[in-house]
Amino acid sequence: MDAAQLYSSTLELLNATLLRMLSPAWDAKVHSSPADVRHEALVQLLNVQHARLVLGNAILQEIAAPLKENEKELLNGQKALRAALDKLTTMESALNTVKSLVDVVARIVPLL
Amino acid sequence: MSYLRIQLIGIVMSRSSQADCYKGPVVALLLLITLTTVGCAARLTQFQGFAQAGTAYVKVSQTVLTEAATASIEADSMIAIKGREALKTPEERRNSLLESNGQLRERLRLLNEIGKHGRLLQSYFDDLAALADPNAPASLAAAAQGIYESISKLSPTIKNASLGGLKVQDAIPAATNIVVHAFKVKALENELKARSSAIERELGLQQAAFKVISDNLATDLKAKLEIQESEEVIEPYSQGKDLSVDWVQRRQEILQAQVAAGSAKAAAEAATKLRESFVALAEDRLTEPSITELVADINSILDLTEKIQEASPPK
Repeated sequence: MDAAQLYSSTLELLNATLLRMLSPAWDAKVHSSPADVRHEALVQLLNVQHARLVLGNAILQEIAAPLKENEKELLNGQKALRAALDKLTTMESALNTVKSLVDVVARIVPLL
Repeated sequence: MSYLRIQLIGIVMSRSSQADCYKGPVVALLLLITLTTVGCAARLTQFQGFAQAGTAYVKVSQTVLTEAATASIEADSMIAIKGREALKTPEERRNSLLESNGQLRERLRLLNEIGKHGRLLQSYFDDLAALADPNAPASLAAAAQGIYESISKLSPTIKNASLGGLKVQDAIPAATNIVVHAFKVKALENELKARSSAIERELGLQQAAFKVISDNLATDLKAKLEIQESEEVIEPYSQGKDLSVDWVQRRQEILQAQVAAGSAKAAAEAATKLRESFVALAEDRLTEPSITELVADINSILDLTEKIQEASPPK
């Protein structure tokens, strides 16, 4: 996959993940979770929003090299996140996969 | 133009008692003058109609740009409020907000430049419509050149900008070869020969810019609406408390706005139609019905943006 495809597929997934994390269905799951999971859900919501803002403003040519260097982790992270969001078996596992992908994005563009 | 035509016909009528031998050539000459005048009037109307389409496009595009800026800030603010309790220290909260502000400012700068670029194009089309008048002052041609120079100064910033993984320059459509029609008003023809291809490229830039911002705008709008649906519709209902008097109306507005979130894509389509119509105008192929249709198409996008604005939180 070339850098442009990696960029757009990652950003598309971050956008879709954000919308999923703001959906009433997700909200209902978070409300019925323990306090530490509710806290982690908010942390990851902020991280995803931040990652999509920074990645969205980034210039592809400037991040093409780190995108390619992290290609395998990005693709694995995307695959795992799509599966976790589709099934949504537990909130903890979904949040872990969100965190994993955001961590890979943080290697490509500087996040907080 | 019509006034001039009536005056000329009046002169013919008053001299109708003159010798018959004068009648034939005079009538032929007047017919020629009349036809020429009607031709000029028709072209003036086309250019005025196109300028109206340009005005409608700018109105729509400014609304979409304002909506894109508002949606970005509102969505980010709503998420910041929702996630605030997850940030433990004042320093964490400050840094998070400062970083978001910086990213949002960068995005707003681009939206602002696209807006300025569109408004300058509108001025250019107004100038072109004025230039189509055979009685237009010579200074209009210089004004058109001046406006174009301002447009071309803005273009590089927009071309080099990137949003959502797509550089604006990469989304510009292929150039169209324009064969400028021979117009009666030479100043108009000269202007079109000098700059119609460049203006076509600038309209292509508008098209590309809206294509690039449309995905981000759609996500920001949906994010905002998801939060509004949860907080204003679902939560109050599920908690079993008294619902506000406007609960039904808010529910309706939010759900309808979700359907209308495709307005940025519609703005990109409007820019495409405007660019194609400009080429037809320069080649003298643009008919009055197609101008009317173009203006109506562009105005219909305003209905979409109004639905989105209705769903914004009450100020």
